[in-house]
Amino acid sequence: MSLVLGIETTCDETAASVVEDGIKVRSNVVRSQEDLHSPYFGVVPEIASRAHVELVIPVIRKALDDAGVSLSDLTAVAVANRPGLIGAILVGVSVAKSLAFGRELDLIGVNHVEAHVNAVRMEHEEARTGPLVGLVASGGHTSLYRSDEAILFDLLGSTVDDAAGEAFDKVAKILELSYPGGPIIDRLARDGNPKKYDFPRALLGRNSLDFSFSGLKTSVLYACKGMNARVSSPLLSDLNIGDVAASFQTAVVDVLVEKVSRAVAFTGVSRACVGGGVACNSHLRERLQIEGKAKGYSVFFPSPPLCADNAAMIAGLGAKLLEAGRVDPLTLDAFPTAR
Amino acid sequence: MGTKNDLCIIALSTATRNGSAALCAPGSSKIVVDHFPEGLAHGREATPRLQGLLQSQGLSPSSLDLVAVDQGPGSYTGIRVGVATATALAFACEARVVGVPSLDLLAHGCPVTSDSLAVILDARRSQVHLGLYVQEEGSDPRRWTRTHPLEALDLEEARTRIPSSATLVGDGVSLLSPIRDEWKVADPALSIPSARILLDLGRRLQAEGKDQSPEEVRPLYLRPSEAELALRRRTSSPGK
Repeated sequence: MSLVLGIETTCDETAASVVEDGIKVRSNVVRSQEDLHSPYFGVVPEIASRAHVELVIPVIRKALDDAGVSLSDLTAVAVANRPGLIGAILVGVSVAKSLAFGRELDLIGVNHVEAHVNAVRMEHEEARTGPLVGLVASGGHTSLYRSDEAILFDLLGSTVDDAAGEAFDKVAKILELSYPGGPIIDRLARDGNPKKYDFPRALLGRNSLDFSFSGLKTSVLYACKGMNARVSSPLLSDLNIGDVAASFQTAVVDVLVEKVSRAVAFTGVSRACVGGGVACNSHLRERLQIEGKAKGYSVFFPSPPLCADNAAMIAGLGAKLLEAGRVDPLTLDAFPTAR
Repeated sequence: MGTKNDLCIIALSTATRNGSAALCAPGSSKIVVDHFPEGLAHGREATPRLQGLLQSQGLSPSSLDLVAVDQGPGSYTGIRVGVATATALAFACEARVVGVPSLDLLAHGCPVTSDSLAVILDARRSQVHLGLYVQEEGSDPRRWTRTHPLEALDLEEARTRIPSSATLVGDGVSLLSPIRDEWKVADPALSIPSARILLDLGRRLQAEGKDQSPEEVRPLYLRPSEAELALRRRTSSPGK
């Protein structure tokens, strides 16, 4: 039996988890920093790094307690060491290395985005082996992968500008809502008219699997505040925020669904999954299930605790890498990009 | 500094480009020091360097009783790497931690040759971090004791706070030019934080009961982040 401690500090969640045999989540502790970043309508890297260093040991202690284990019971420490905010990642990596050194545990560096895809394999037995198309959409990433096995990932496409979740946050700021934007836009969109505004869907050519959301964000800005307006300009007086939210969300979901279907057609893989915070979006979930049924592919989503940033997915993928003998030295470094 | 020691103590300073680590084995008076090459990537190398020190003395991490760490102020990333590495190592080894402000660390390494000492570190943005010290009454050997809370100050304000006849030390001293005639500038070599001195001070603080659990030791920034300062300016400006 393997017991892996996962540590996640790539953005604004300080998280730790203990996972048994790469699948069974024994504990999953997430300390969100949303309250710290909400006044800025986005994650402030320095504030995130400062919070991580204060929170990480208590969060790890709670993850061990919740799992009913001690450090001496562990097999390995897995840490998200890429991609993300470099100062934030360095906190998790420094802690993981000290724990591995201090307790003579194996150390495993994990790609945070790939771990989102593996979260689906952890929870869905039908998706545990064999190829998957994986969409990861969050505040920091929007990427499409082909994953033939738990530890094999081929990047098919990614965003050329804003991430999908970042677009939700920026539109929430334009609409003078709160941070993070995803949940509140999802809620407001339920009462809005998704056809009121014909916002652009940037598909970047017939065969592209990349994404772009910056033009959509600008289009929403002009629709809400007038042509060439700034984010700080006032909202137009007759604006229906629900209609804007519904039309914007539909535009984002149209693009995400189209790209997943393209990736399925391109790879010939008949199973798709979605991870990352945007995978919690109710409209995306409905639309992808309908689209998958119509086009003959099945779609898997992680449960909400494993959708957003968490350390269970880091420990889970870490366990798979450990099984494959992919252990890192104590010189393990942090990287802002996926490399 | 040659005191025989019952504890196994390791010390780590990564607040500047000149990082270092030091180790004193139990029952030994010898402090082994590893001065990192200047500009070393502390995030990548700090833990392997600690491992090298322990291995050089035939010790395992489980031998550790106390971890002393330089809390800053200094490079934000550097002090976070140091505190995260040190506190997690202590957590793993069930050891205690002593956090030492960089300014106190430099003061501890400065000979007591005048009535007062000002430790001045470059805080960027036309500010310095200032620590003021006087001779501790009755101390033998003589040592410095801090008289004021540590602060980040504008250059002019810092100049007015420093007593006449003070000895000045730290990488921020040159920012206070022109240096007054009555001030004495210490050897620039004393402006580099040393893990050897950190270990010695950590041992003393532990003996005074000032050691802490890993969760209690945090980086010392002495200044909010730029984003927080900008938000305060925006919300306090007229019309907001």
